[in-house]
Amino acid sequence: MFSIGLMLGALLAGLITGALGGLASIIPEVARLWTLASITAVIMVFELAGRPLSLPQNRRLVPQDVIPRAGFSGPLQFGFEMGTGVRTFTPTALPQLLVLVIVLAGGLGPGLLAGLGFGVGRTLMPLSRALSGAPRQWDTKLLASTAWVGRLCATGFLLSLALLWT
Amino acid sequence: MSDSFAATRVALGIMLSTALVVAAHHLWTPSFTLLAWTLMGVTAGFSLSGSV
Repeated sequence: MFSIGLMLGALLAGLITGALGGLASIIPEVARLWTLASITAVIMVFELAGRPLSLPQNRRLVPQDVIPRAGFSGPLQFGFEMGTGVRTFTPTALPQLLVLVIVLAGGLGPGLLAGLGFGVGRTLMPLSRALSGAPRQWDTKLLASTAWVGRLCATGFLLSLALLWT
Repeated sequence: MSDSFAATRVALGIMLSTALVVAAHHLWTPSFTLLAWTLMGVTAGFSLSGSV
């Protein structure tokens, strides 16, 4: 239920962002792409250096009392709110950059696909943590390697972004 | 603990998969645009692994 909530939240966020992309299409394409290229370059320099920029974010967690709610609703709501990427702390600037890419260069379809991917990416965390067999050790290792996880994700992000224009 | 599922390995797997898609895009077919949008989402989503 938690993972389904993550996927639903991410898809909704992708849908809303994609709709905003449609509005941004009134701006000339050249202006949009140059703006995107400049911002991407700055954000990526900091991401690859392992010191992500602190961009505007909600900085609020989903209340813990949501989880114990009866039936499916607790985990579903917790996952949904986390899946949107809005009610969480963002240790990297990649989610904000993703929003910018969808708004300036995407649209409804790309927004939905990116939302789907965002949900999968978020789900991979609890999944790999559970599959590791030792969740606490997994957490310790993650905390020790957060910068590298960010760098690898930033490289993957850059590669997939390059795929759109090559 | 199985090291195969450590966050760095998962992130490395995502990054290498993306690199493979880029290579495939150049070598065989130019129709990987839809996958590129999805992979962009995957990398951004997994980059939040340190947060709850």
